[in-house]
Amino acid sequence: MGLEDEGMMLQVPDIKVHVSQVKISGLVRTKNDIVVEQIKDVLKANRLQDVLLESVVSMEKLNSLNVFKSINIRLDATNGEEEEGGGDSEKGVIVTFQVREKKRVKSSLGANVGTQSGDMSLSLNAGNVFGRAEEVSLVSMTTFPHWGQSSQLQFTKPYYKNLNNTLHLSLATTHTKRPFSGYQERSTGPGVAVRFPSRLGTHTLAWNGDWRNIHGFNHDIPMSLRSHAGHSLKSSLRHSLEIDERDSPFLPSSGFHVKVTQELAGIGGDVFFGKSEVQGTYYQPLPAGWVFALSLWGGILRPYSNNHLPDRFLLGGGTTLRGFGMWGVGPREQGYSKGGESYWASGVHIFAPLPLITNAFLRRIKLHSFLTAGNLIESATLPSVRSLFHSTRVSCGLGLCTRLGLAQIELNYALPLLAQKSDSLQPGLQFGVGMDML
Amino acid sequence: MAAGQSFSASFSELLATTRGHFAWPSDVILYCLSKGRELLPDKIRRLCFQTYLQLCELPFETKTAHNADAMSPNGLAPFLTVRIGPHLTIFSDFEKLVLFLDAQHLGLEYGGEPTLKADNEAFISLITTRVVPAEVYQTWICPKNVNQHTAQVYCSGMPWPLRHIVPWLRRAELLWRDWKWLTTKKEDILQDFRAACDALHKRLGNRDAFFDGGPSCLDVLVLSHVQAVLTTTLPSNELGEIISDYPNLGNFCGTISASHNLIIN
Repeated sequence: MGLEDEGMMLQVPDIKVHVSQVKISGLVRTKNDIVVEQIKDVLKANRLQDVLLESVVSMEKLNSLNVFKSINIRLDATNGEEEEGGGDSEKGVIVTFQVREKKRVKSSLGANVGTQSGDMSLSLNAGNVFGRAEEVSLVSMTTFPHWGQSSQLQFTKPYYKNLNNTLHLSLATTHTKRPFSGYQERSTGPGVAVRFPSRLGTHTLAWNGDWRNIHGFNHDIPMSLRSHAGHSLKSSLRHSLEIDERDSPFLPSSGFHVKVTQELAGIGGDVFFGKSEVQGTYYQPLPAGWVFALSLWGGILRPYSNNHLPDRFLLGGGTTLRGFGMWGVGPREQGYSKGGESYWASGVHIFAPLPLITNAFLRRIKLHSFLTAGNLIESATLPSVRSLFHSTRVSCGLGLCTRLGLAQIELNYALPLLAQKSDSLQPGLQFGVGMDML
Repeated sequence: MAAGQSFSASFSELLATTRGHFAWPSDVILYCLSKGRELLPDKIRRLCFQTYLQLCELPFETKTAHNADAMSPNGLAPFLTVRIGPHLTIFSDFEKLVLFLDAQHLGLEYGGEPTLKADNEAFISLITTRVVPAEVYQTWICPKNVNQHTAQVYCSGMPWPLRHIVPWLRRAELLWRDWKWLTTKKEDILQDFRAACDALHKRLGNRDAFFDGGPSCLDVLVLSHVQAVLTTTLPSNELGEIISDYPNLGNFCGTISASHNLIIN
């Protein structure tokens, strides 16, 4: 008689059992070894409660392989006489996982609308390619109205003993148009990344080779930007640590989120620089569903060659310093943003729920008021870093914000309070979409 | 090309607004490729800019950059930056510079007999249609030259593995833009080049300039092409051999540069 017939919600008697067999049925393409690794702990259980618990844990693990459409557990009692070494007091059980595998290929179409542009993506995913939960995805994305293009082929493989450790191999080609800096960039190259969680947070260690071609300058582009033109090869090692202690990634109300990134370019290739960036946000719940948030960003770049234009920091616009034009803060020449080598930015937000709204969807839209400040400067030498705090830009405003999927969407009325002559200002209504918002 | 169109529009505006009353600024810069990356067509274009400006007695400063071609709006080095009004204007096209300077009465205006003006223009177009393609062929299509010279020079200074990719990509781009290169025969190209040299040789004779009234744009073009082809280091320089058959063309370079104190190298 199967235990599942009696229902899982029943009180499970505390009896000693011993798992004589763990079976899995329904495997077609999936290899045994990776599945065995996820379910082997069931064998160790020696109480009925533990057997059930371990089975559910194993089911979760199997589920996180992302290769099965459905997973069922079935427990059967063995016939005592057949069991070797099975004393009278220990009953034998057989645990059976019945799985159904997912389809081999999946395709999807997506669309997004951003601050100044939108994008459309077409993706094709092949799961469980070699039977060990590997995934191959091909994503092609077009952004408009500037018609940037990117295509990426990515191979992802989880480490079979710990599915949170993953290996990513990718080959990507992008064609980016940067109207605010007046140039276009074509970049192609492979990448290898390893992601692994630690007690501190999630680490990502990556190597990227990027063959870049900076071209397509308008006629009025200043020489300082033009001098970066041409082919270059960036080969860089990057490490990032992400600590996410928020209560929810969607409009969090407490906790904090920190991302620290270091990049070192120049392991081969002809682009040499070191770059560090920190982005952190802290959330504090207030009475009546209000939330206070403080974010602090900063970055520093030390170039050792003159072809690092796309790696420079940019600041300003609906996702960073609101009330300024897109990348409108910092070194600019003839209306084009040159980017800078060090910056800081900070934002104070107060989020409040919309009053008199009970609809669950509309409750996800929050009112917020903010004060943002920051500065971006040309170089990152020690004396100039001090000047980072001399000509601080400040803006404030209020608006509505929500989160759809990964992106935060805001519609604000923003006013720049402190600005420099060369900045591009955009007081008034401003729309912003981004994954990381100051 | 959108960029090209916008430039044409702004260029005709430029001609109209500044016509006749433009003072040549002192901070004019000619950005050239560094010597190690310069190929025959680049050198010819550079000599055109340099000799023309020298003959017009317009001062300029020469700067070299390994990526001058990528910096240029049309992808070709060299280019000249001139401050016109508040803006820096870039001339990467030699013909446009000549048009501009003529409009400002700063250029080498044609001073010969009016009846021969059409001949002058015919010779200029002979150079663009017969001589320039032969030089491009020798530099980018001729297998011996590409393998032994062009590929190495074009990628000089680039890191591995780009130096094995970029030159061939540039060649493929050239072939893709103009499919005629796939079917062109070397003999035809050289024949055209010889015919052009022959015509120039006959017109020039033993004179100091092609037309009376001193050197003009045609003289600058002939000087630049002949000088660059004769001094190039291409492994297979059939064009140089052809020009050697017309000694008056080579002598012309010497006399004109000596009489006007031109620095051409």
